[in-house]
Amino acid sequence: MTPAPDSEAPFPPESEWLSLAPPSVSPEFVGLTLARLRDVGLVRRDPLDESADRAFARLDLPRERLATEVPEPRPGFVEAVMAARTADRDQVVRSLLPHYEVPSASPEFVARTLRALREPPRREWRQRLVLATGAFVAVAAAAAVAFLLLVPGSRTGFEQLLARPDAANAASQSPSVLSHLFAAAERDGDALPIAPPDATQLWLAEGSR
Amino acid sequence: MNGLVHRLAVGLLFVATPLSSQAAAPTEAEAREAIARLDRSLDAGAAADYLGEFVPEQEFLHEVHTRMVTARLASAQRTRRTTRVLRWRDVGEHAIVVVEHISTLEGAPPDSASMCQHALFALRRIEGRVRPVFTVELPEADFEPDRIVCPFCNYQVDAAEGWIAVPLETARTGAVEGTLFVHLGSGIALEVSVQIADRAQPASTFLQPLVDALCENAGGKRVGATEPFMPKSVTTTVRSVSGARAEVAMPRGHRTVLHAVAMGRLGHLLLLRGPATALATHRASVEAMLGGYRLMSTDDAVFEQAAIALDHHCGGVLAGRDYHNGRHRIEVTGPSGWSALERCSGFLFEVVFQDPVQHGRMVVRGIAPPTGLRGWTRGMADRWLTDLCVRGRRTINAVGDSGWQDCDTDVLQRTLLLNRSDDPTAPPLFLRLLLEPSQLVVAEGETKHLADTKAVESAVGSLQPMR
Repeated sequence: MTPAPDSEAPFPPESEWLSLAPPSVSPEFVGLTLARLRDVGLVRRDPLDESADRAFARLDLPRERLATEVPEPRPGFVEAVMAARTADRDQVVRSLLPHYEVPSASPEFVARTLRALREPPRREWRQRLVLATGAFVAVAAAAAVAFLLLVPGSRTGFEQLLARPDAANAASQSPSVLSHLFAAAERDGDALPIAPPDATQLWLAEGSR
Repeated sequence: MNGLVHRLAVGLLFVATPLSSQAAAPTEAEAREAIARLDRSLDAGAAADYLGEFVPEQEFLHEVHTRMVTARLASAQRTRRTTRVLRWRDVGEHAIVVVEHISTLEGAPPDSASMCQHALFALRRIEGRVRPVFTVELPEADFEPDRIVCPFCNYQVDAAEGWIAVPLETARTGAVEGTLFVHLGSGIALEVSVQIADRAQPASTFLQPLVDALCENAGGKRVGATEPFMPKSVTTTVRSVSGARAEVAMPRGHRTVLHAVAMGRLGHLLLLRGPATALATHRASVEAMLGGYRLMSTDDAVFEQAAIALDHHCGGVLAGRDYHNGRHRIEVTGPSGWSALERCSGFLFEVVFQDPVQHGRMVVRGIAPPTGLRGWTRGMADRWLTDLCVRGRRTINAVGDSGWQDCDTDVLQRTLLLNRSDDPTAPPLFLRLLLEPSQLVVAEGETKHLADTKAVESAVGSLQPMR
């Protein structure tokens, strides 16, 4: 097995993956791998290419063969790839967002619209309504995407750890980031959330009886 | 000769410039007045005035404090807070003040419960006015300000120059114990925490779920791979100690670096956080602070360190499925055939029983009185139980509730059945509480195996005060 290099090369963006130089593998390796991926359902079966699958079905792709062809990734490689891909897509979506911004309507457009609405031929009015509804849905969707992408990103990350409603729990208002990470890592939605109480909340609640 | 004079002149200028530009730390009287202003704003219910006094140096600490103040002022109860300065010292431009807050309910009878909490304030002179820059609750007023030492957990951390140590309330650490080291003036902090895992594991395994949680819940992005990390006090020949380090980029140019040192089940976690630019600017100070962490013992016996830590912090003896804890005066027997494990995650003690196929679980925990209150009362325990049911989406089954019973001891006892609010027909959860001023002990158990239901009910019911 070829050890992975220690030095970390800059990771290319997703759009360049297909233009990268392919690793040198034996010609049938690609076919074998695709056949195996189709078998386990990770790649959709192509009905026009059943013959190729059948040809490879008789051959096996043993673990040893896989290990000689593909080096084992270094620790953290998969996480680094996923993080790079997420950042990459985030960047692409952000660059696309301005395309969804609606330009302000010109005075002529407003005048024409109002004129048309005053005396609308019945059929044309319906078409305009459909168009207006479609435009509204598109703008609303773009606004929702913008909200989801931009608003959480504008907050400090650690604040998100505090964004839980159970203020009566001592750990939920902890000044320790680690304690919030322990809680997030341990969180089991099904378990009873037993935790030490927050003194102030308990004291105030007791006083209000 | 001329060169020497020139170098001396430049050296003197280098030393003199920061000294002349450094503002003097606030005096004790100034600090006292600044804190009194906070008390007045709090009593008036003026959250904006109160929080506006702060010039936050530590964003996360300020956010936590903001939420605490907001929650307090959101209550229908009007409160009064009186603050007494217990200790004061200056560190560079900062005054570090340890205080005692006495809070009372406005209009309440004089004999009603008050709350006494300790806190640390850091204050600094900004544009001629003394302003608080952060505050953190303290578990108690007496602590060593520049060092944390725990031979039972096998570590010592000495604060580097310009850093202060702030011990954290155990209930808020979710761990055996925790300490916060704050680098004054930069926004950088180092958290140190001791965790006990369910099984012996390498340092990288301690780190992995924390890195995942940062990325999934706090918008972090992992930077590079997990790397080896070893404190200077550990030689490479020690096989029972492993160390790892992982870095996560946070939103708005912040950076978190997680370090773990593992000894069997016990792990030391060090979380360094702060603005990336500040971390780069203060690299030498950060390195000095990390260098202040060391293991007290590094022989191969440290693989069993978790047992020593558990014995010191929690007490208790687990023999098969029998657990008794002389320090906390309780005993309990888990269901037959289930495995048992002692843990420590912010509670006085904790023991977990698990069935072999993981369809059932029973946990017994001791909860200390909330810091600042005199002790548990029946009303507080009821309030805590109500909140637990809301958060856990459970309802108390009136038929299965024994109510509080005094069984010829100083300990009140209560046994309950809790149903799922969204599915009352699901198997119930068995709950048993032992209440005394110094602790609330809670045993809870449930199973998806109907055949085990009686065994779990009986095991939860076996929780008793030691006679």
